[in-house]
Amino acid sequence: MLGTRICRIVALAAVLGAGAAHAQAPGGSYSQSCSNISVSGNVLHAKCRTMQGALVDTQLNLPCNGSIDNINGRLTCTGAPAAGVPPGSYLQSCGDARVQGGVLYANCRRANQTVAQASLPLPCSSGKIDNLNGVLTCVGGAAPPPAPGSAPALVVRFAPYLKFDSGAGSYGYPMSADTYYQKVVLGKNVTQMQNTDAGSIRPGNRIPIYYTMRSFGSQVRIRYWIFYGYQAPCVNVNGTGSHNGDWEDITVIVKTDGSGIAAVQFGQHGGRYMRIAGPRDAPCTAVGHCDGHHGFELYGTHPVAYIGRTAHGTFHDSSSGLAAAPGGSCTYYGDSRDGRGPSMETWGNPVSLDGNAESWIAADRKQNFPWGPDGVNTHPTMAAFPTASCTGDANQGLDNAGCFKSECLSGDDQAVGSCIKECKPGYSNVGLTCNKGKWPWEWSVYGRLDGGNRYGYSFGIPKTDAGLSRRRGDGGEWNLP
Amino acid sequence: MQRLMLKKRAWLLAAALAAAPAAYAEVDAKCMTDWNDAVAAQAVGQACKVGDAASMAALKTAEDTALNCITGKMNAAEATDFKANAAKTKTALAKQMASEPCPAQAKAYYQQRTQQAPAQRSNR
Repeated sequence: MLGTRICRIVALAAVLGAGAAHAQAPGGSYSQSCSNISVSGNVLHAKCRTMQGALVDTQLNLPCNGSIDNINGRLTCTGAPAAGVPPGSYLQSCGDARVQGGVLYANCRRANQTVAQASLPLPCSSGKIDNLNGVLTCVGGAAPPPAPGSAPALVVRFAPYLKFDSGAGSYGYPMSADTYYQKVVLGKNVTQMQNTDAGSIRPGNRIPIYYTMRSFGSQVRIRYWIFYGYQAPCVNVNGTGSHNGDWEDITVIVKTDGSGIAAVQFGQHGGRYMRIAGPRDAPCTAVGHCDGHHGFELYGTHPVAYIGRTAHGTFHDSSSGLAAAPGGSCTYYGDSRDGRGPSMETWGNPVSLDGNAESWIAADRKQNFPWGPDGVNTHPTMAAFPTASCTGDANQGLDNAGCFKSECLSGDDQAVGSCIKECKPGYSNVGLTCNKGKWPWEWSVYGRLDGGNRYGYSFGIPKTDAGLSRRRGDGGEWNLP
Repeated sequence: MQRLMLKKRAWLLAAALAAAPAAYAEVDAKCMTDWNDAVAAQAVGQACKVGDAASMAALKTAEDTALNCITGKMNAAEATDFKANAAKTKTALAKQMASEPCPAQAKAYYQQRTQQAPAQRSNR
């Protein structure tokens, strides 16, 4: 009798188990790299392999009107866009498409079957969005401009907050490049023009900040341009250095999910340096790179830039300058930028350099004019985005020393003249070596100063968050930069 | 600002070059290994009390020789930075090895290293 009851219970459990776990699992490429596949209610469950080889639990709500893929350990419904996502052939090879802050994000398959986190600023004027080997591309519609007054949300959100020097007054504040172009470049009687009205940059101002926005792999970068009508002579250099027209720029590198800033490149004197958002708890012994606060300051969501009094360069830090030194205010870091003058919110009137919202922009693309008599020949519409973290020397210098204030990737040591990679997972950082094991005869050890573990301050900017807003991870990220 | 850079480039660049050497010097991997071996052996000698004064002095000489080899190609700032980092590394290793009882291999390892130390010096 007892034996009979046990048999019945087992049989009942088998029937119930079959009913709950063996609903038909939908087909898809995921089944090649996932196991323990089951459907419960309207949820597909599986253990799927990541690119690093780990098996992780993942699930997907059904039904999926597209195909189901395993994208780096995550079940993804490919070809079934969320609401508001623009159509295009990219949907056949990209999953998780979504639009945030005016940018299209998706996980797109490359030719070698790896997956890239891709993004594309919208709108795409041609309406034809393709996945070109993991890069979302607006085919036949190069970077179309948004309508005036409708800059992408990311542009507004991450536009810089400018802090001027207490002595900035007569040295000039930003102004409209279009006003200057009409009156000085095209005008016949006006030979010089600058904005010295501090009241014009109050909150709510409409002084334009110009921008271009581009995708770099899975990352969006926004390059902001600020125009000044005139640069006064350098202090302590016998009146030299003055010129008409003065363009300065700041590049914001946005986190791949659009939620914040991964890094900022501050431009000055035609050069630049990069400050990162991520953790930097590794040793920092190099003067310049470690000075002052880490990374960059934020004003809400906006990066703060201290503006040099004379030359209008943008910096992450304040300084009283080196006006008395040889070269004076025009040396690379010699300009006073105490940040105690007026401040400017630059997001009241962003103007895309990919459009024609102002008349000078079309002319700028031909690069055939100086900005006034004795004026600079800078043409922001034609300027390529910087791909290196910084320019110039990593040591203090009067000229060409952009890398002096640049930072290494997150987690790495900032040493004099070079960056030293943190130790690989499982290794202890002993300073100059990374060791595994306690005693020398059982050590697995490698030096941190050779074998690609050391790199210069000027390096290719990563196209993901790795090393910028977070430390690099295992796998391919370890090879960064 | 670019125009100033062109006009003033000559003297500013000269000043900058005087103060700004190349990005960083390459490190001789063999010297680095020699340095690491000498420092590790000293740490074992000290932690496990298997080193006599003469052999410890020989290892210190080997360490200094390797250090000079490494920093020889560096500029002053980089060399200062490296030496500070080297001192920290040495302290970290000594601390790491002092925390637990010494295993039996300690003496053999130390003797092997002290025999190699003079040979390392004579090779340069």
